[in-house]
Amino acid sequence: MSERYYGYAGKILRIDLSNRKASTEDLYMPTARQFLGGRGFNMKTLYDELKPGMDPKSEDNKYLIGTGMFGGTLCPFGTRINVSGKSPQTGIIGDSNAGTHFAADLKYAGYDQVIVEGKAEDPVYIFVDDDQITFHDASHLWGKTVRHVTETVRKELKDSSIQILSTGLAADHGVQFCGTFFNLTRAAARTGTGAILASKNIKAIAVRGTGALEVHDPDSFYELNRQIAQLIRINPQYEARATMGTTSNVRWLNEKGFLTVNHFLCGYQPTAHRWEGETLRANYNVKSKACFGCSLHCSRYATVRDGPYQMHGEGPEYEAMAGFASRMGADDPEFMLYANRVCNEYGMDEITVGELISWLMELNQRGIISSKDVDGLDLSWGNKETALALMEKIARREGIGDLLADGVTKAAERIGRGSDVYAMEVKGLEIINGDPRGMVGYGLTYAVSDRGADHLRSEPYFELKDDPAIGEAWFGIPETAQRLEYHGKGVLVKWSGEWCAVSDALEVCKNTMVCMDLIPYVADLVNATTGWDVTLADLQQAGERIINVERCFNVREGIRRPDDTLPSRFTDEPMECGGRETQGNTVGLEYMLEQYYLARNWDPRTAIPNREKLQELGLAYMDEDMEGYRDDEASRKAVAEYSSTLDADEAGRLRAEIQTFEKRMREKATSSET
Amino acid sequence: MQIKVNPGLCTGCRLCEMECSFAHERRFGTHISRIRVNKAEHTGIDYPVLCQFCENSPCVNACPVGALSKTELGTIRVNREGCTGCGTCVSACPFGAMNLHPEQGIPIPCDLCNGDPACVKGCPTNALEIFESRLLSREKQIELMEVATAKRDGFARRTTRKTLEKWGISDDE
Repeated sequence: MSERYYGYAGKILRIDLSNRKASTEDLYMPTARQFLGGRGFNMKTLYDELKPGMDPKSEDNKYLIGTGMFGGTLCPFGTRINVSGKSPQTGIIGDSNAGTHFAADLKYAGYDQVIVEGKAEDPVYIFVDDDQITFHDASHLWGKTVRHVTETVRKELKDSSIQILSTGLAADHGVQFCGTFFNLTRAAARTGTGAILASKNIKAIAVRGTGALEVHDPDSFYELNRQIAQLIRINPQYEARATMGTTSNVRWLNEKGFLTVNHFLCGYQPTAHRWEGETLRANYNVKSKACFGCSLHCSRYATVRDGPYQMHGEGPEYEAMAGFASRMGADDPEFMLYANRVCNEYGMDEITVGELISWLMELNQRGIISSKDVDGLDLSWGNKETALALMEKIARREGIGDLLADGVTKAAERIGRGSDVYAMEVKGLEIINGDPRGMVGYGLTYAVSDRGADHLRSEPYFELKDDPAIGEAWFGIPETAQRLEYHGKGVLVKWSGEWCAVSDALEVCKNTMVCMDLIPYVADLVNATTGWDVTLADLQQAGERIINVERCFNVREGIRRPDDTLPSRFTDEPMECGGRETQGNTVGLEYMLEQYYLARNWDPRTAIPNREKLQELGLAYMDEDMEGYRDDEASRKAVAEYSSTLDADEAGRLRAEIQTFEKRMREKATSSET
Repeated sequence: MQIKVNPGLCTGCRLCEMECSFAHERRFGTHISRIRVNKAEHTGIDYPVLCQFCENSPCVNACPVGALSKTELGTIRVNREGCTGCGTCVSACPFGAMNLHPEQGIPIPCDLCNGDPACVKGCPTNALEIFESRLLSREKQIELMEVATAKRDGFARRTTRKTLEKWGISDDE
């Protein structure tokens, strides 16, 4: 090795499936500094290496695995992983993140990023064994479940400690919303990365790394991580997170009245206590589980010992479980745990599956479809057997499952009859189980997220603090810390979006770094790891750079301002939650969008990044590309549709506010380092 | 001195491996760690495995060149000069607790960090615990005493039932 790498493993592995060859490149440090790692590396690779408009199901698509600089060390929140490609489900940025042990082994094997390209002639699994890359026949694994594949590959490679990434049987049947599954249950579920693997004839990738990683300043690195672990420990959220993880959301979402009930028709479920995190903790969880190196251990291992839904397995997380509970009008914890297990085994995105089931139930209630449209299944709210049957059919594309297996957007096109109005998706990706009428900043996040409806691209957790004084102290805008207020949400979503991008690029956990307010420590940690001298402002700018690259990628695929939207239910239908706090609320999206584009320095008519912004971020070559799109047909259409909701006075006021905000953030960034 | 594992508390985070590799080499790697967490994802069990500090150590007995010996602490000492890196000790260890260093080729058994194990200090859930001798903690001793007493009660009652009948005494109250 010519250069000594700190934090980073130092190499990028490129696997050419068509020729069954592997090669490596040294990590180029100026790029590393610009994009940090993980999602940052993957997004840059996608932009640079995929031709605009290419078919995501073709062999020209790429499957990317990105790790972060803290991965495989004792950093308590830093061994997550991103898998990316052009999404076969949405046709835009495909990217998903998971907490695994895979990233650690990949780095011990010597790689920061893996780029898989081409297509294998027959089903294969790949074994990355330090510097030996081998291809193995996987025809006997085709159509098999995640567990079967994981265990068989380990058996065949004679090492039970090998880390495995695989797909379930749904991917092999051509379901488009299949995730990448790490060691059974850790899913990078969203945007159909598993479908990319299947289209390349890959069933699994195994990795074993025996190397070790160095950091630049071991003593500071160790000490900082001890401090961070301590801060996590004393955080007021610690107890709930450590024992319930995201399942603790159920109770308070329901109390406030914006839990997803009956496909967003309602925000309150009287029986939600039956399946809330506290109930799981008391009756079903047997122990805590952790991602690599994490002292918070927010995952859980659950068992159902009797009855029709016996199971044992890791999870579920809130998003997965609400889909099999309130979203479809059910409240049976044992069914929910069981359905989660099955969905994982089949390897599908549970948010999408939850949407499909509950959407059909709403269509049935409205008389748009009936049981004869869905192979005779009873579509009454909460019908558990129907949900399981639908899952089976979708996973194998049988009967009605074939119509549903490309996601809700395509299913609505096929069913027609106005069913698309009720499809809860943005840019082709289904919406999570959090009703934005109860947290309007999240509504903006769903609308502008570059992988489609999603909260993790810009977790504006800050607005849930519900304390104007904190909003004033942090951003100089009290409303940023009030979930039903609009003022300042554009800058908040910009700011948190950038830190979420930094999280994904450093492969750090957002539940800790963003939600536990640990951002101020991250620059020091990066510097101790790499020997760089970056500030928080530099890191945030890297996050901004990543978001702009993603936007440019999507612009090439035809995404414009009109695609940054929400289903009309959220913008037009007042929230019904039995008189709780959120009662009667809607999302005033347009005003927030205006704030957002202004803060981003994107053209508000087209949502294409302006030249000045791209040049400032060192992305001049992307600006040249964008020039070809600023006045194309899609942009002209967007411009024609556009009418500003801001008058000149208000725009001026917002501009001044954004400047104050950014100045304050810059000051914060410098002061926290001294 | 030994290290005791409570599998019910282990979350499988492998911080013990990170602490171990850092304590010994100021680097991070699971294959340079002396403790390894065995993970069975399907059952949820995470079980850290390290040297069991056997009284009559199979690894020491198996070493063909006598490069392994016991320390006063009960750990295995590796004579780096004498060791040929043949790996016989790895095969001899009944627990899979002996591993060769991937770069140096010599075995890396647990050395208890000379009496202050980093893995135990770093474990966030106290799934690893030091115990000084074979003597159990006072709580554990009492717990076992109670178990034995209850068992003696049952055993005595069962086997003396006939005698009580003869005396006309009922044991029901």
